[in-house]
Amino acid sequence: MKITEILKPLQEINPLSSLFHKSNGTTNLTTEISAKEIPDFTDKSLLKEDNKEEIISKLKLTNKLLAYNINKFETVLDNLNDGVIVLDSSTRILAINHIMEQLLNLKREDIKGKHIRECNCDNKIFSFILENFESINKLVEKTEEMSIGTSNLRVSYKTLIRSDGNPCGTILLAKDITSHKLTEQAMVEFISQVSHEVKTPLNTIKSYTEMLIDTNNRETILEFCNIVNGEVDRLASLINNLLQLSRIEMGSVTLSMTMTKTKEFIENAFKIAISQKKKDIKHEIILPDKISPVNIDKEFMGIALINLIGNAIKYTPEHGRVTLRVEEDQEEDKIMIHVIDTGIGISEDDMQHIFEKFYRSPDDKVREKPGHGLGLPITKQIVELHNGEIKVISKKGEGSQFSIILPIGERYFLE
Amino acid sequence: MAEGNKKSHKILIVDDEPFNCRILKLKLENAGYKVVTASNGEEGLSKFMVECPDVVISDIRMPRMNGYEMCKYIKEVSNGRPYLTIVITSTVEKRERSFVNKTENAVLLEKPISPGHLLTIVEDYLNKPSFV
Repeated sequence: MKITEILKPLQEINPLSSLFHKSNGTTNLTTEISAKEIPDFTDKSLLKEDNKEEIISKLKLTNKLLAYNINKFETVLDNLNDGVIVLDSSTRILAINHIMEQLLNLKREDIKGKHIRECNCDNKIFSFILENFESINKLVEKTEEMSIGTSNLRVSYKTLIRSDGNPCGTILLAKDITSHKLTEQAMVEFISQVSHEVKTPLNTIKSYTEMLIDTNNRETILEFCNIVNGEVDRLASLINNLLQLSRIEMGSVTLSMTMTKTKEFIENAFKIAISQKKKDIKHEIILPDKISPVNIDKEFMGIALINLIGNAIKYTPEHGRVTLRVEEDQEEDKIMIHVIDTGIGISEDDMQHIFEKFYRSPDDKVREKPGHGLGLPITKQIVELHNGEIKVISKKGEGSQFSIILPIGERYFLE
Repeated sequence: MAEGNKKSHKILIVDDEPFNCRILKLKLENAGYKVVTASNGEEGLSKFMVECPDVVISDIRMPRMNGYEMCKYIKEVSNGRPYLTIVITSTVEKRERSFVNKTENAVLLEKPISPGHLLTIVEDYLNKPSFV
């Protein structure tokens, strides 16, 4: 066998031998073999029959060094967060990292050294490589998004260029962009929701004002004006809610916490909520004789509590009852504010979604009331900003109980 | 177009916003059309089957069944009978445009809409030779 035949595959598969030689080994190479001992196999003057023994012995050393370096190289690859696969100039798999193994659902020992066509594996990543691998002489740099299983990937294909400027293989990187995509989708959905919620009252305002122009009947004019007026209020309330929500979500809210007399705070919130909804409803507040003050931002917690009481009144039919009951758990150091109503209640299906932004039940009894599906998400976020929690007990047709549970904290400030 | 001819044309409005339903109904009834309304996709579909309207005006975001699903089912049950679909939407994005492009005889209107403009579209369609 001629030495050129022995070396040919090595030269083809591992142009790295030349690179290692020229670079005098990697800087932190800790091996007994000196890189200087390794001949440059791309140097044709070395390839003579009388050098055969020496070349073969050095070849063994070279292989050992290469195996060592490839092992190091794979360790680095395995610690990357992206999937990586490296192919030689004939699409033979030279290296693959753990992430890529998982994405391809293949084991490296089964595929390493094989041409990707030989892997008998039908997957989008291999198809992407083959589509782009028209010729190794063609330099390709291409990125595509694809989904594999439940993962969304951004896959980049790049021809590897040797130091002499010639192409020597391909590297393919797969970055998992699932969470990025989810955020993007959530943003698109949010914009679409906001757009719907803003444009619906705008649509009513435009339609009714246009119709007003052709209307002479005074009663109709009055009725249309009332509708337009109501829709302007609805739009204003939506904008307020959106502003509150974005302030909270952007983290730009700084709570100004003060030790607050619980009784006064609750009575005040109740009074505001009742005055906002003109409805014939029985209402009462049940407070213990003695109650600790709570450490809250009065403005924000007021919004949260008024939202809950407002909902209770809104979804309770005329002559129903809304009760605000406050309890103090001395052992747990908590204050519980329960808003209890005898209203339409919440179905099990709706219960899963009530704290989602813009969620509104498909139930006609809910739909006939105004709302944007933002009150409860805002309330929950405010309560959580106070290190509290919100709980719901409800049965469809029988009523609901929403409870704000707040830590009491330091109790020596007031009374 | 003769008044009698107009009255034979029926229009279905599907919208979960009662105010919008009402004003469009008023506009179209004033113009002499017979109008039926539905407050969600499910109801819209069953009214389509019973009433066989010539024009379907629909919102997209609705409870129970949205406008896309409803239009898809309506196409299945229409048995090739011609009708105009007017989709009223808050956003005109790729999804909305592709939906209208794929649907035969469909018009996309972005909110806020003008009832007068809507009436013109309905009349233009119904005044086509095949409908007069």
